[in-house]
Amino acid sequence: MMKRLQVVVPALLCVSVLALTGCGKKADTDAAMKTDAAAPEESLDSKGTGISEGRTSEGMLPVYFDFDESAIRADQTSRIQLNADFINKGTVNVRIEGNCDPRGTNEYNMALGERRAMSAKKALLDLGVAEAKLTTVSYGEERLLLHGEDEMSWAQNRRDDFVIVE
Amino acid sequence: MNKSAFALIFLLLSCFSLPSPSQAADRVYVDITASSTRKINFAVPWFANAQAGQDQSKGKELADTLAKALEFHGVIGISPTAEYGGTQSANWRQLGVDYAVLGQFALSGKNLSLEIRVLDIATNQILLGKSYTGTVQQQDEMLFKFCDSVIEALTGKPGIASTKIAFVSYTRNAKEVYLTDILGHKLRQVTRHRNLAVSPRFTPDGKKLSYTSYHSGNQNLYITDLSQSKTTRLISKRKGLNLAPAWSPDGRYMILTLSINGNPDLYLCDSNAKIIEQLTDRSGINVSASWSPDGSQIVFVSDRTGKPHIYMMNLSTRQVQRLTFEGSENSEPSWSPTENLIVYTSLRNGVYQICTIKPDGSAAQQLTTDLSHHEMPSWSPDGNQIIFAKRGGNRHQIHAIMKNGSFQRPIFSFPGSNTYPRWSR
Repeated sequence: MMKRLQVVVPALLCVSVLALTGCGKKADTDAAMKTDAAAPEESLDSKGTGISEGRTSEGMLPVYFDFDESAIRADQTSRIQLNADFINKGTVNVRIEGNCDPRGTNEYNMALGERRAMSAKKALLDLGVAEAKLTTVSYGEERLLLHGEDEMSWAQNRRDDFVIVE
Repeated sequence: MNKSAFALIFLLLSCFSLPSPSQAADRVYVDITASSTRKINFAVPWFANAQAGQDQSKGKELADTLAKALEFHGVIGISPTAEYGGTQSANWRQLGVDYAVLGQFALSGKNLSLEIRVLDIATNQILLGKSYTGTVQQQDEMLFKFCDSVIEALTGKPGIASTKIAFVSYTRNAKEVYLTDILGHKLRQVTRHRNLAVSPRFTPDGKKLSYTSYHSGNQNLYITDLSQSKTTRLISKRKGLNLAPAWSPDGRYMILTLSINGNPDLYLCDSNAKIIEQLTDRSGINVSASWSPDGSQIVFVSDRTGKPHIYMMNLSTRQVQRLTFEGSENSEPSWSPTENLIVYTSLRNGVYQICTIKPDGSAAQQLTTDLSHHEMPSWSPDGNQIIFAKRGGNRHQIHAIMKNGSFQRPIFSFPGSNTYPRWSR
């Protein structure tokens, strides 16, 4: 489980998976125009990039937190909405994984991560997600995504991931 | 990775006291905690092979281990063998040695016999003499037992050489619990969940180890019997946190952090993690409890005022009182097993430092000062030392320090990042 190396750079460069897919399509179009040949027709349904932000399953987005806080920030509510829509329209179960930056002590951060996961769970329930579809787990600071000692790394680590489980 | 070292080993190991003058009733013991005390100077020359003319290399190894174990206690200094060539017939008085340890060994097949005497140079009398027989595999155990007897003869309380240290090591992309001795000579891997294990805690008798592991997907609490290395037992799998039990001194109860009611709260449970009573209720984070040695109180971390600080709870009245006011954050409290003193981590100028404080809030002391993070402090079984994880670069190493802040040193160096140290007899 811990050896799942994640693609971090795209998560930083693109605001969302949607934006990333957008970039990709544009590049394809440009290439097709340059060859000046009629490309064969293809399906409107393309495969996903397989790239997701943080450790969140594709189709949903992580939610970020302020330092030592577990309340959902105003700028993150659209992500909660997107995740709620995704879960509501499917049949999947989702595990909300709370994470912290490495500042703060480990057991305290374990509890803080749990509070972050629970905040997101409550917000999803408020948007009509069935409670039976959701579980929470906290990794505290035990599974850092970025190891830098700077605000950019810390901000990426203060995160809830939304992971599809069987 | 020697498992046998931690099994019940002393069945084969016999020990006899050698004839020595009866200890005077008016013996003056060394106060192990007094910071001004000069260290007692020991010489541990190479052990002599009883079979003359045979290989002497074992003698160096035995002397070296015993010297390191004695020195570990913080009250003994060791005269380097280079100063006198390792011989047992040096002029100790001239070297300024207070006690010389004169050891003899005999190897016979897989067995090792030791005969060790401590000579008091001032009186020219034998302070202590013992003989041991065991397997070669048990050589450290025999030396550690002897070391603990020497410390007892000097201080009135047995030493801590024959103890075990649990910690979490992050290697090969997994965090697993390991056990080792005070010198890190033998290393035993306890968990093999190939996942994430945290917060090991010995039961007060040292026979079992509880820990939290994520390998099932949820963060569950397990307990394993250390006399074997095959099985573990799941004792709490409530949804969410099942974290960091504080064992009561009598081993009958634990105080656990659970989040089943929507918030990380402390719960009083029996030794099988069955809930007896919820102790905190929806007042922010409540975690990392530690029991007072008389069983009447606990210390724990809460952020009920915004930032993490240390609180105490009287278990008969359930009254909660804040203990720490200095430092921007205080956490990871651990109550000494022998006295009213609490060690904790305090954030001072952005760096985690190890501090102690009395439960009445007096005698606050900062033990560490350098600008590395010092985290996860816990006590030695005799209450004289504190073990902690010190950060250097991007990894942690296990260090120890005397409770007065002296003699800070890394106690062993294993690969990976090593955290969550715990210490037990």
